[in-house]
Order: sequence, then C-alpha cells, then structure tokens
Amino acid sequence: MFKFNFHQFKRRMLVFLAVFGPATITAMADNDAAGVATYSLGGATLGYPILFLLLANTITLALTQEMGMRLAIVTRKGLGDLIREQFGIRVAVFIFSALAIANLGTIIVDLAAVKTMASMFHIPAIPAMLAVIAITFLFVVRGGYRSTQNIMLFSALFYVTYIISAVRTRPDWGLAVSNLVFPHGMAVTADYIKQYVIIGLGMLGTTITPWGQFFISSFAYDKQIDVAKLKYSQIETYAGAILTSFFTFFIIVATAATLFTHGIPLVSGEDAAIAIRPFAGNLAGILFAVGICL
Amino acid sequence: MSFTKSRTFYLLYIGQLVLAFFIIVATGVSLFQLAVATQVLNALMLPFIFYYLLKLTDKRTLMGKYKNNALQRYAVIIAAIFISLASLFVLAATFFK
Repeated sequence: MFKFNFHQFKRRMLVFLAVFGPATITAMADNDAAGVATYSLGGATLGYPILFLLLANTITLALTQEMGMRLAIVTRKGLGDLIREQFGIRVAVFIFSALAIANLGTIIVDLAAVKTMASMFHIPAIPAMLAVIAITFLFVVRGGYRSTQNIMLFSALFYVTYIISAVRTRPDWGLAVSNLVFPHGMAVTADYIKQYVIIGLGMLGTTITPWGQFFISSFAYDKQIDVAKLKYSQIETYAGAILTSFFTFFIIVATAATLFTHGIPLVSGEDAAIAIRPFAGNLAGILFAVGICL
Repeated sequence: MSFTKSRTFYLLYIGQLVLAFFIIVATGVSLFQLAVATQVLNALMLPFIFYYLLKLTDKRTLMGKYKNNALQRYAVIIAAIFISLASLFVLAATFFK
C-alpha cells in the first residue's frame, strides 16, 4: 500500500523551491508588451481558432527552454561562451547580430506600448518613455539575479488581470477550449489562412525567443544549480511553459470574445482597452491596459 | 564578467534603448503592426538558434549522459521544419503581393 512519506515530500518540495525561478521568470518575461500585443491581435483578427497553435507553441517552448537550462547546468558555462568555444567566433558574431536585431525590435514595441499607455492615462508621452528608459537602464546595471526574480514574480501577479478580463467578457468557453484541440468555427478564406500563418508565426516568435535561450541559460548559470537537481529544474521548465500559455489563453479569449466577435479591428493600443470596455466593464478595460504595459 | 566586457554590454544596451526611442518619436508607428512584424522577425531566426542548440545538446563530449534523447531531438527538428516552412510562406506573402 502507498504510504505518504511526509519528510520525503517536504525535502522534495524544498529542493524544488531552491531551484525554482529561472524558467518561470523567463516564461513570465515572454508575455511582455510585444507578446500581449501579438496575442491580442491574434484573438481580435482570427478569433478562437488561433488557440489551436497554443499546444504546439507550449511543447516547443518547454523543449527548447529545457535544453538551454540543461546545457547551462551540465556544462556550467554561459550560452555565448559555449557557442564561441564550439563553433568559433564567426558563428558567435552571426548569432549575436541576429539577437541584437531581434532585441531592438522587441525594445521598440515595448517602448511603443509605454507611449500608448501614457496617452491613455493622459501623461506626457516623451517624459514617460524617458523615465522608463532610465529605470530600465538602472535596473540592468544595478540589479542582480535576485531583484530580477522578485520583480518578475511580482509582475506575474498582474497577469491574473487577464483572467479577470477574459471572464468578464463572457466568452464562449466551449468554443475556446475545443479550439485548443482543433481549429473550427471560422469562415476559411484565402485571406484568413494568410493572416493565420503570419500572426501564428508572430505568436511563436514572441513565445519562443532567441534571447529567451540566453536568458534562461544565464539565470541557470547565476543560480548555480547542481547537476543532481536537474530533474527539479526540468519540472520547473515545463511548469513555466505551461504557466505562460495559461495566461496567453486568457489574453486571446478576452480579445476573441469581444473584438473578433463584434468585428472591431485592432489598430492602436488604445483600441484594445477601449473596445474591451463596453463588454467587460471599465475595470477590466483598465486592467487589460495595465497588463499590456507590464 | 570583466569590466570592459560589461561596459560594452551596457553601451550596446543603452544604445538600443535610445535608438528605439528615436524611432518611435520620429515615426509614430502602429503598436500592433510593429509587434507582429518584430515577432515574425524573431521567429525567422529560431531555426538557426534551434540548430546550434541541438548541436550543443547532442554532443556527448559536452553533455555526457545528459545529452538529448531521440524524442527531444526529433521534436525540435520537426518544430524547426514547421517554422522554416511558415517563414518561407510569410516571406513570399510579404514580397510577392
């Protein structure tokens, strides 16, 4: 008969909590402004059927993040150093340039989101953007692993706002959940398919990012997780990927239930919050907007 | 991390922030179109990243008994193939309207 061993359970939980962090932080960082904007656009333009991509997205995210994590824990080296050592300086420069370009794009989107937020709350946009730049830079220069971990885990609380927003839009939950398994309930046109592939690829690109690989590698490296605890880190990586997609699901459901169902196109950032308001109420609209900014 | 190495990193980082600031102020681009465009760009680079990630995690000299199992390897290869095909479609749709 199975006997519950409390001490063993307690010890295991403590080990899990000790390695907890890197994957969940990376997963949380994946749902940044660029991510929320892309998921919102997917929900608004394509409706519930875009949810079908979520499963494949989650599996690919979990697999590749686990590889990055395992690599850092086993070799005890950063990903940048490993690439240079194993493939030479030319490949390293190539990867680094690709990363810099992709990074710049994401920074532009995140700053554009700050501008949108500022205009929504009637704050002068340029000072707000400069303030965010200053805070970000200070944070990158002065902050270490621990402060990053705390801020990210704190901001995860705000992701709960998407769940509230989604519930208040009174979505068709049956249609939403069944679309996770197979896409249905849409009018298939050539333009729809084209939009589906483009936005779908964007969704994949925002969930699984080149920098995410470096992120998880450097976090696992900083935390100096022991190889013996690899199993727990793997569990955390998979849990982190599922958690990311869990919030993504509600972002898409909120916009699909409102913007897509009522045929409202999503052009500017204000639209998302304003359009969701009549259906979900003032509070949900504001919460959604604040969530975008974080 | 040595001081010069980190100084380069910070300079690059602040450079990106400032460049992003001027692009937004100068052009006033739409948040959502920009978001999809940049995230598609991200996706286009993934097959390359996956390739090097697989090569590293498949190396026995590097990983020992912790190298990839067949399931992990093939799942990521399949993902890379799908992403490459979708990327080609998106590139074709963008350049040949």
